[in-house]
This record gives sequence, structure tokens and C-alpha cells, in this order.
Amino acid sequence: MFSMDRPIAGDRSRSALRLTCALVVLLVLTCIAGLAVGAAGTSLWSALGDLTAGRELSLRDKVVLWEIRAPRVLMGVLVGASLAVSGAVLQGLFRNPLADPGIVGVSAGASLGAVAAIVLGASLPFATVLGTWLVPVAAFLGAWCATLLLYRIATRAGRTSVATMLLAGIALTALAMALTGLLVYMADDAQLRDFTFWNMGTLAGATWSKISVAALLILLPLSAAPFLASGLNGLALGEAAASHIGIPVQRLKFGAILIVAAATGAAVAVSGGIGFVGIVVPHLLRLASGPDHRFLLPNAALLGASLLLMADLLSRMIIAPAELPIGIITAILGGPFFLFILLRQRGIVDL
Amino acid sequence: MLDARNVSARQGRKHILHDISFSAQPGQVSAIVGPSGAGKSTFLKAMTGDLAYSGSITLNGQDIAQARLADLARIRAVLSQSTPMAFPFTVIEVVRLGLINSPGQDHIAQSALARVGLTGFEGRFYQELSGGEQQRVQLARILAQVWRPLGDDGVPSWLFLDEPVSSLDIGHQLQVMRIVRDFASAGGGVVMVMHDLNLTAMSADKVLLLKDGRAIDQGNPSTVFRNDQLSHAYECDLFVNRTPSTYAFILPQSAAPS
Repeated sequence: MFSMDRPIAGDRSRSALRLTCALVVLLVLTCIAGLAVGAAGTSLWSALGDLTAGRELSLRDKVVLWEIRAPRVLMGVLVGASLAVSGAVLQGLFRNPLADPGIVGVSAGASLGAVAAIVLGASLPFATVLGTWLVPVAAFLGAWCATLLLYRIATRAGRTSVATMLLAGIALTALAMALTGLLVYMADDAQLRDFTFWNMGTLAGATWSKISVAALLILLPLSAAPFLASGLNGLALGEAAASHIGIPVQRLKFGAILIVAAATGAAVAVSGGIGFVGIVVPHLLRLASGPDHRFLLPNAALLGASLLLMADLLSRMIIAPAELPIGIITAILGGPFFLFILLRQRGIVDL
Repeated sequence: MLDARNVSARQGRKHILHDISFSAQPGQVSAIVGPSGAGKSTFLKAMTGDLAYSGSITLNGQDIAQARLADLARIRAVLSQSTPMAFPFTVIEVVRLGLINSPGQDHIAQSALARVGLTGFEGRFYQELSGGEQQRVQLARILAQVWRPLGDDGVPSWLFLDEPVSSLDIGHQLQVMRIVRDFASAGGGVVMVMHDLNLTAMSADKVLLLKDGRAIDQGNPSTVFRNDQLSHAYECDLFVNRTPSTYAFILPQSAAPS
């Protein structure tokens, strides 16, 4: 597929592959930084020194590195990758660079599902069967319903109206938030406490047990996403032309919606609302190496993970030893970026 | 061959195609003409599987309503009137989308671009091209998709084109007509919706004349393009004449300027 002779003008597959290598390096570096930086005075380097010298780590260092920082870094990688990939897949599905799970109501749907599980959890018949899976599965269902609804509303005869998509996103978000508010109103004190912790939207509460649930829910859609890549490329021609080149469009749409819902649902369930990663990352990558989803999807996973880890580092450093919710950092950086894309594209967006 | 029998279609309660029967042969260029709103593009959509219809349409003996998308994509390619692309793809990336189910055939993309006269455009961004250039890039994409008009097994490939020359200047109109003629001469089949009657008379072996969703006549352009028939279809006075090289040409008969 990738011949070794002189590259053809306009063929960006090689630069995209080089970018993949660079992004792997970046991710390794940000992971190391995530392990090395923290409010406790624990030093990764002296701990590594101790380990290589065969000395036992102090209990404190062990807890800080293994029970606090490592799960947090891993959670950041999983959540960042899933947010960026669901953004890229959603944009491919809607054929528009402005689709982001946080903006078009998918995350709000996931939140509604999660809150419903927290508040109504005990009274649901299958709650005991699902156990710790209840909240992520409910978030997935909420995200799925929201994405299906959004697609039905915004896409007519195979064409998505951007204006309708964004406006429907506002309405869906408002509706989901109203229902969420209603549930919170009904909640008792213990449930409110659960809700508040969940709603903070940070990676701070990451534990290995949380990760074991989230990892499966996130890795499944992430590993399925590359199978959609060439279909999403074809979909850029429009639904009719995509089916003319042999792409099973209905199946592709169904798969894309399922992947977005699962990845967003799992990310929201474990980390609350973290916005704009899904829009910033794919956009930067399209600028760097083109919109080919065969490269865009894996690169989005890598860059999304790195960016979220960097945002997490910022959130831990700005007001250390306290920390800001990471959602605030991504919104402050991502909001203006979204507006920038919107303004640059005004002609195409055709509001 | 392409064989459409008693094809009808409706949009809501309104009938948009009435009992049309039409056939096209590989090795020939067939054109669908008629006034705006006659159902030309609609009929083409039925033949490309984009529209529900009653009746039967078979392509190379396969019922297109039953055939798998991937199987159809191997034997026929479709060019829409315009194809806006999401995302900034380069020209070569767009043409390669036609080869999405032909792994290892990427070199065909450059030959297809050369065929439509766009060599050197590989690295340009599709969205920055003119409408006519975009249309030729899409033509290259569908040519790449069915690159061989006649397969090893003797099965012909087909091009379905919806107004392929509508945004082109006259030089490129003739170029596209040459391309479809070459495709047919090599054993493939071509079915295209056309607006320009003179270009159609020059380029098509067979025409289907539609009006209000019904077939008025079909056959060789010189028999279908008659004064009475065209004037009736287009609801204006049209006069068919012959060029010295025997092609029909149609002059609109407007009132003389005062």
C-alpha cells in the first residue's frame, strides 16, 4: 500500500506515518512527566534510582507513584484517546469538522445516563448484575440515544445541515441537563455526594479498579475504530457517492454511532465532562497530515492522550498543591480554538 | 446490458416516473434528455440504486435491487452533478477514493488524472479548484473505479453520469465526450443525463427522450430528434437540421429581435 519509490505530490501518507512516530515519542514523554510531577515531594528519578540499586521503595513513594500517579496517567491516556477518537469519528460521520461530542449533546446524553444510574441505580432491576459497570453502561446508553437522535434530526437525504446539527446539539444538551437537574433534585444526600464527586470532571479520582472497568469500555471502541477508516474516507464524498464506491453506508453509520457512544460514554462515566479535546486534536492533525482517517484515527488517539496529560499537568501545577478541574483547562484552551475554526469556515458552514 | 422494465417511482403521492422501459448496450453511449423536471436525474438515480422504484432494472443480468453494493461498485461507477467534499483532501487523495476496494492499484489514480487532463494537479486541494476542475477530478475518480471497460471475464463496466459536462467549457465538454466514447469503444457501457441536445446528437448512439416522467421516444438521435417531438417535449419551437457530417443539430426558433 505504501510504495517506497518517490512520493507522489499530494500523497501525505508518509508524512502521516512520520507524525505517528513523533506522537508516540510525545506520548512517552508526557507519560513520564505525568509520573514525575505531583504535589507530593516524591521524585520519580530517585525512586527509579532506588529500584535500580535494588533498594526497597518507601511506602509513601510506592503509594504516590503506584496508587496515585500511575492510574491517573493511564486514565488520562485512555480518556484523552477516547475523546479525540470519538471526535474524529463523529466529524467523519457528520462530514464536518465542528462536530464534537461535548458540543452536539452526546456528552450531555452520557451525563444524563450516568446520573440516572447514580440516582435511580438501586431501584433498577439489573443494577446488582452490572455492579461497578452500571454507571459506564448507563452513560454509554445515554450517549447512544443522543447520537442517534442527533443524526436523525440533522441529516436529511444523506446530507448534514451544520446549522441544524449545532442547534439540535444545543437543544439536546439543554434537555439532557434539565432532566439531569430533575434527577439531582430527586436525589438523597448520599446520592448527591456520589454525583458531586463524579461531576467534578477530573482525573484525580483514578484508581486501578476504576481503570479496569473503563479500559475495557474504551479499548473496545478504540480498537474497532480503525476498521471504519476507509469507509469514513469514502463518506467524505457524501452518502450516495460512498455507496456507489461500494461502502455499506448504513452499516458504517451504525458502527460509527456505536463507537462514538461507547467511547464518549466511558470517558464521561470515569472523568465527567471534559470538552474540546475531540475538536482540537483532529483539526490539528488534519492541518498537519490531511484528513485520511486511516492515519487520522490512530494519530488522534496518540495526540489526544498526550494533550489530556498535558492539560492534567497544567491543572496540577497552576494552583499547586491544590488543583483545578481539568475540564476548565480544556475549555479555556479549546473554546477559543472552536471559535477560530468557526470563523475561518464561515463560508463553508453556511449558517 | 442495462435493462430497465416498466420502471415507476413516486415521491410522496406524486408520480415522478411513469412506466419507463429502456435498455442500453455496452459498447455504446446512451443519453437521457428532456426538459428540466422531466425525471432524467430521477431515472438515473433509480438505475444507480439510489431511489426506490417498482418494475425491474438489471445490469449485466444482475437485479440491481438485490445486488450487493460492493459487487455493483466493481461493475459501475456513478458521477453526480456535483460532489462537494468534506475536509481538505488533495486531488490525488480524492481520485484514490475510487480505488478504495482495489488495494495495490494506486498507480491507476495518476493515469486517470492524465486521462482527464489534470496531470500536475495531484497535490492541489480539491476545495480550491474551480467547479469544472472539481467535476473532472470526480470523473477521474470514477474512471479509476472501473478502470477497465471490459473485464477479463468479458463482463462490461458501466459509467452513469449525471450532466457530466454542465460546468465545463466547450473544449473540456468535447474532451469528456471523447473519454466516454473511448470507454464505450473499449467495450464498456455509458449512460448519461444530458442537457445539450447538439452535444448529445454528436456523442450518443442512443437517446431516451423524457417528458413529465414518461418516455416519449428512444433510439438513434437522428430518429428521436424530430421537430415535432422536440418542440412538444420542450414546449418551444425547435428546428432540427443536419450538419454536413450528418449529425443532427437543433436551432432554437426564437422571435426575431425587433
